[in-house]
Amino acid sequence: MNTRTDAVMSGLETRTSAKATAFQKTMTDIRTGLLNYPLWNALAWQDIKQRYRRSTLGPLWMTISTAIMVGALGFVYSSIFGQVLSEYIPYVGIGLVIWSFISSMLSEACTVFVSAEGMIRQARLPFTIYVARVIWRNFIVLFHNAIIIVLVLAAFGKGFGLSIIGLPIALVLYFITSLALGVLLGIYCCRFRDIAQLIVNVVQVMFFITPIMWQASLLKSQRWVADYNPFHHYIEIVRDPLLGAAFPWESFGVVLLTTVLLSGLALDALTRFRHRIAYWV
Amino acid sequence: MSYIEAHNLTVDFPLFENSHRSLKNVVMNATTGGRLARGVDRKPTVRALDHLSFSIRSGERVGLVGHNGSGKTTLLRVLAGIYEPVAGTLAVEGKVASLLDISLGMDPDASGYENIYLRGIVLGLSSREIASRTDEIAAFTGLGEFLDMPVRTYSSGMQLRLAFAVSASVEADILILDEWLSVGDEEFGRKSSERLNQLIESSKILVLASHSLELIQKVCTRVIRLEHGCIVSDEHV
Repeated sequence: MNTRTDAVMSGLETRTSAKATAFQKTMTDIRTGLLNYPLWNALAWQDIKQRYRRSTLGPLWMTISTAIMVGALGFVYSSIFGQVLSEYIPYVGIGLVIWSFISSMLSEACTVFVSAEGMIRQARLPFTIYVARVIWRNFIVLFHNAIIIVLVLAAFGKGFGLSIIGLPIALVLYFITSLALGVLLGIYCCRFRDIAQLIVNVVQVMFFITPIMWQASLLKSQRWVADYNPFHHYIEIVRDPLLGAAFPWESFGVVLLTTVLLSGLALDALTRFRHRIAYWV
Repeated sequence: MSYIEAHNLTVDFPLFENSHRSLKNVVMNATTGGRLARGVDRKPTVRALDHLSFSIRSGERVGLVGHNGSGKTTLLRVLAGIYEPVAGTLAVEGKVASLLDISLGMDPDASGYENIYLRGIVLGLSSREIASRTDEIAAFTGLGEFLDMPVRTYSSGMQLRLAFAVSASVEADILILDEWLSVGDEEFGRKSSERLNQLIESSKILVLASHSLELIQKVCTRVIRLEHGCIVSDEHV
C-alpha cells in the first residue's frame, strides 16, 4: 500500500506534514483530538441531553435508579451474606457505581465509531474526538452516580486514611484505560461486528464472578478467581481508598500493567487501521 | 500557495455483506455505479475511484459532473480528507472546508441556537468565533424567534437555511461543496447564492459537485466529468 496524504483537517488548523508516518499521524490524531475539548464536551453533553430531553430530573434518573438498586441489594444481600448493613452498604454502593461505569464504558467502547458513522463520513475530525466523547459522557454519568457514594459514606463512612491519594490516580488510570479500550474495541468492532455481542456477554458474566456484591475473602481457597480478574483490581483501586482501607499496592500494579498493555495495543491498532475506519463504519 | 495534486488516486470500498454475489449482479448490470473488482486480499470491493490523476492550481473553480454513483461525492470526500486513498497519492496544501452534508452536527431536539454552536464547532470554528458570529448567522437565517425552538419543528427549508448559514461562516483556502447548497426557496436562494459567491471569491480553490449545468457554467472555470470512477473529460471553459 502506497499512500501519502497531506491530510488537512477540515476547518481545524492542524495539518500533518507531507512525510508524516502512520505513527506520527496517530499521535497527531490523539493530541489534536484530546485538545479539542469544546468539541467532545459539546458532543458528550448533547448525548446526555438527548437521552433525557423533556424529563424533569434528567440525568439524575441515573442516580435514582442506581440508588434504588444499592438500597435493595444492600438490604437483601447483607442478610444473605450475614453482613452488617452499615459495612455492607458502602461496600456494595461503591462497587455498583463503579461497575455501572465499567460496564457501560465497555459496551459503548464497541460503538464509538459505528455510532458516529454520520459524522465520520461528513467531516474530517481526529478519531480520538469520538472516543473522548464517549469517555466524557460516561464520566458525566459517573459524577452523577457519585452522589450515591457521597451519601453512603456520609452515613456509614469511617473517614479516609492516607490511601485516599489513590483516588485521583485511579481516575487517571480509568481515563487512560477507557481511551485505549475505546480505540481498540472501537476499531475492531467496526470491522468485526460480532465482537460487540461477545463483549456484552463477557460483561454480564463478569458482574457475577467479580467481587462486587460479595467480598473476595468469601472465596477462601478459590481466591485466584478474584486475583486473576483485572476487573476486581480496577474496582479495588477506587473502593479501598474510599473505604479507608490500606493503599491497594497490588491492585494498582495490576491496573497499571493492564493500562500499559491496552495502550500499546490501542496505539498499534490506531496506527495500522486509522485510515480504514472511514471505510469500515 | 494552495493546490491539490492527485496521482493515480484510487479508492476501493470493501463489501462485508455475505450477499455480495447478488450485489455484484446488481452493480455489474447497472449503468450507474462504480466497477466491481476484487481487492488484493481477494475480498470483494467496489472500485469507486480508478487511478485518477489531476492537479488543481490556486484560482481554479472546478465543477465535477457525472451520473449518480460516478464517484463525485467519493472524490469530494477524499479531497476533504475523510477517505484516505487505497492506492496512489494525494497532496493537498491549504486549509480545507468541506460542506458536504446538511445534517452534520445537527441535533433535531436542540434549539436553533444550540445547533448553531454544535454545527459551528463540528465545522471547526472555536467557541469564541461562534459567539462572535452568532448574531450574524442568526440574522442570515431569517428565522427570528424560531431559533429558540427545537430544530425538529422546522420545515426542511428552514433547516437548510440554518445549516447553510452556519456553513457559510467558515473561511478556507479550499472549498469543497456538494450540490445540496443549490436548493432552497427563491428568496433564500438569491440570498444564499450571493453569500456563496462571496465565499467562493474569498477561497482560492473551489471543487463543486453538481447536476446543475447552469450552476456549473455560472461558477466554474473547469469541468471534470467522471464515469465509473474514471475521468472521461477535463475541460477548461
